[in-house]
Amino acid sequence: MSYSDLLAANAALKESLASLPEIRIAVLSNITIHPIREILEYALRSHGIHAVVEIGQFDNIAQDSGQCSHCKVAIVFWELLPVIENFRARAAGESDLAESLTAGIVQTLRNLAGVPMVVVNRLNALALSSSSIRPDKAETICNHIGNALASSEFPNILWVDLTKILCQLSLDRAIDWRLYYLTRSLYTREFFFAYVNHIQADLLALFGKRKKALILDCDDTLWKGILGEDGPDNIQMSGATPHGMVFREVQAAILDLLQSGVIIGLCSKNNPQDVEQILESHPDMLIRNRHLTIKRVNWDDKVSNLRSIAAELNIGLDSIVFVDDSGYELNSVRAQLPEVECFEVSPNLFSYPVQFRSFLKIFAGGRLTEEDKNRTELYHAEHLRRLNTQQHASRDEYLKSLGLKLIVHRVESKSARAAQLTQKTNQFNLTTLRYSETEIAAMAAHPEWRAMAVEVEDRFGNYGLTGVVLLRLESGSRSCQIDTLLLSCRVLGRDVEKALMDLIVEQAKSAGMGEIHAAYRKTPKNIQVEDYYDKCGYTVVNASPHEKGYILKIPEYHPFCLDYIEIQYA
Amino acid sequence: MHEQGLQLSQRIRKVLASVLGIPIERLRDDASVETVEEWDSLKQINLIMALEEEFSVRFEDDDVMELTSFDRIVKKLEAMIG
Repeated sequence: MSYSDLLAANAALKESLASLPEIRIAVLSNITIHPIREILEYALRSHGIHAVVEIGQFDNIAQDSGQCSHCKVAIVFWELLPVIENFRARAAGESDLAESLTAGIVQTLRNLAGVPMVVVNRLNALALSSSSIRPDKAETICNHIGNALASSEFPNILWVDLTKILCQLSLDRAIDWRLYYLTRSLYTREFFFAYVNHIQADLLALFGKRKKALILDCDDTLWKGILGEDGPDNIQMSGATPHGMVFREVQAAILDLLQSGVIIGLCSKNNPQDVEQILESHPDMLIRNRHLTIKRVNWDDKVSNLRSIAAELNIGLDSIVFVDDSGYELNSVRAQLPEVECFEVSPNLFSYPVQFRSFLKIFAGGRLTEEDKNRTELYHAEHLRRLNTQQHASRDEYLKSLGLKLIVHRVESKSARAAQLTQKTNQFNLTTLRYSETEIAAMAAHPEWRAMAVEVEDRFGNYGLTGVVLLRLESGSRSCQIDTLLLSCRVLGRDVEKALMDLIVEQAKSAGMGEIHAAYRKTPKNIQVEDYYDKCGYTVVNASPHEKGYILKIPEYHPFCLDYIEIQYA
Repeated sequence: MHEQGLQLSQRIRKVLASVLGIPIERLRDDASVETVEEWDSLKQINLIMALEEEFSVRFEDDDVMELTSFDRIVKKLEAMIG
C-alpha cells in the first residue's frame, strides 16, 4: 500500500469506527515525529481499533509525560542527536550529559507508570557512529545510559531496539538528513512503516486482538514433497538434505511457539491415516501428535475446515493464522474468510525459514501466564470431557458427573492473568473493558474495589483462571456497580455463570451493599450474554441499542444454589 | 504531451488530497500553503514523502521546503520525469 493510499484509507476508517470508543495513544519525542501518526493509526484501525494518536509538543518529553494518564499507550522517541547538540551549545562533558539524560528518562518513565503500555526506544547512536571502529562519543553516552537504566524496573515498558529496524532497512533508507536539518524530522516514511510493523503485534495484543492458533498445511509446508505421491520415505525434513534443513528449521520454529501458549493444528488435504503414520513414527518429524491440539486431515475444502476448527476451539476466525504453500488454497481462504491471517510459503525455499520466523512475531505480545503454557493440555482435557458428554443422557446428569468446583481468588496474586483475560475475552464479557496488569493491580489495592479472579476445576482437570469480576463499591450509597464480569469461553455451558452470580451477590451483601448496578455493553461478539442479567433476575432501568443498564435489589435476589458446583475461597 | 501533463497533474492532485485530507475539488490550480488552510509545515513533510514515493523521485535539499504550491510541484515534477 502506498503512503498516500494509506492516508486516504486511514481517514475513511476514522469515519467507519466513529461509533467505537476512542483509544488514545501518545507519541512523545525530541524530534519532529508527526509522520508516524497516520501510519500508527492505520495499523490499529485496520484491525477495528479506533486509535487516535496524539503527538506531544516538540522536545517536551518529560513535561508531556505527566499528561498521558488518559492514554492506553505512550511511545517515546528520545533521540540522541538533538540532545548532543544542546549540550554542545552549553559546552558540557559526556558524563554530565549521560547523567542528566538518565535522570530525565527515569523521571519520564515514572510519570508514565500509570499508562498500560509504554513503548520506549533504547537510545541509539548508530546514525552517528556506524562508521567508527572504536566507540565514539555518541556510543559511549548511549552505553552509559543503557547501563544506568538496566537496573530500573518498570513492568509496563516495552523496550525497542532500533538497531533491529535500522539493519532491516539500512541507515540510508531509514534516515532523511534533509528533513532533519530542515524540519527536525529524522526518519523516512519507510522507517515509520517498519517501526509500526515491529510493535504492531504487541499493541494488538494489548487491545485483545491477539492471535491464538497457528493452523498448518502439511505437504510442502511442514515437509518437502507430497506425501500421497512421493510416499513417507521420500518426503524431506531432516538435516541430511538442504531442503530437509529448511523444513526442519520451520518445524522447530513452530515448536518454539508452544511455549507461549499458541495452539498448533493441521489443515491438510491428505489421507488421515497417512499423516497419522508420519506423526506417530517418521523419524525426522519434530512435530508430534502431542503438540497438536486440532487436526483436519481430509479432502474437504479448507474454508470449511478452518470454520470448523474455529468452532471446535471456540475462538474467532480473526484469532487464526493459516500457513499453506498453495496460492489457490490461500486465495480462497482470503476471499471467503478475510479475518484469517494467511502466510504463503515462499517459492524460494531457502528464504522460507527466515521469513516464517519473522512472520511469527504476529503471535507476540503480553506476558506469558501459566495458562498460556498449559494450553495444549487444557484442550486435551476438553476433548475427554466431550467424550464424557456423549455418555450421559440428560444435561443435569452430565453436569453432576463433572464434579465442578469454583475457586475464588483475590485478584492481587493473579493480576497478569486477570488483565490478559480482560484483553482477550470477547464472548462472555458483559462490558468488554480492557485493562492492563497495572490497572488491575491498582484496583486490587483500592478499598473501593472488590476484584476477584475465578478458577474452575472438574474431575478431568483444571481449566485455570477463567473468570474475572470487578465490583466497584459506593459505600456512601450502599450500592455497587459490576464494572467487569467475564468468563473464558472454555467453561461455558456448565452453569458456572449462574454460580458466579450467586457469588457476586454474596460478596456485595457481605460488603454491606443493598443493591447492584450492572450494564450490558453490546459488541459484535458478545450477543450471547445480552440477556444474562435478565436471566439472573435483574431489572432493566435504561436501554439503548448499544447498552442496557440494570439494577438488582439484593434482598429480592433468588439464588440459583446449584448443588453440582462447589464454591471454595483460596 | 498535453494529455500526459494532465495525467501528471491529476496524480499530484490525488496525492495532495490524501495528504491534506481534503476533497480533490478544493485543489484548484492556485492551491498553495497560502490558499489551503490544511497545508501547514508539518503536512509539508508528509507531502514530500508521499510525492517522492508516488513518482519514485528524490527532491533536492532546497526543494523540500519550497515545493509549497501546486503549480511549483507540477513544474518540478514535469522537469524531473516529464
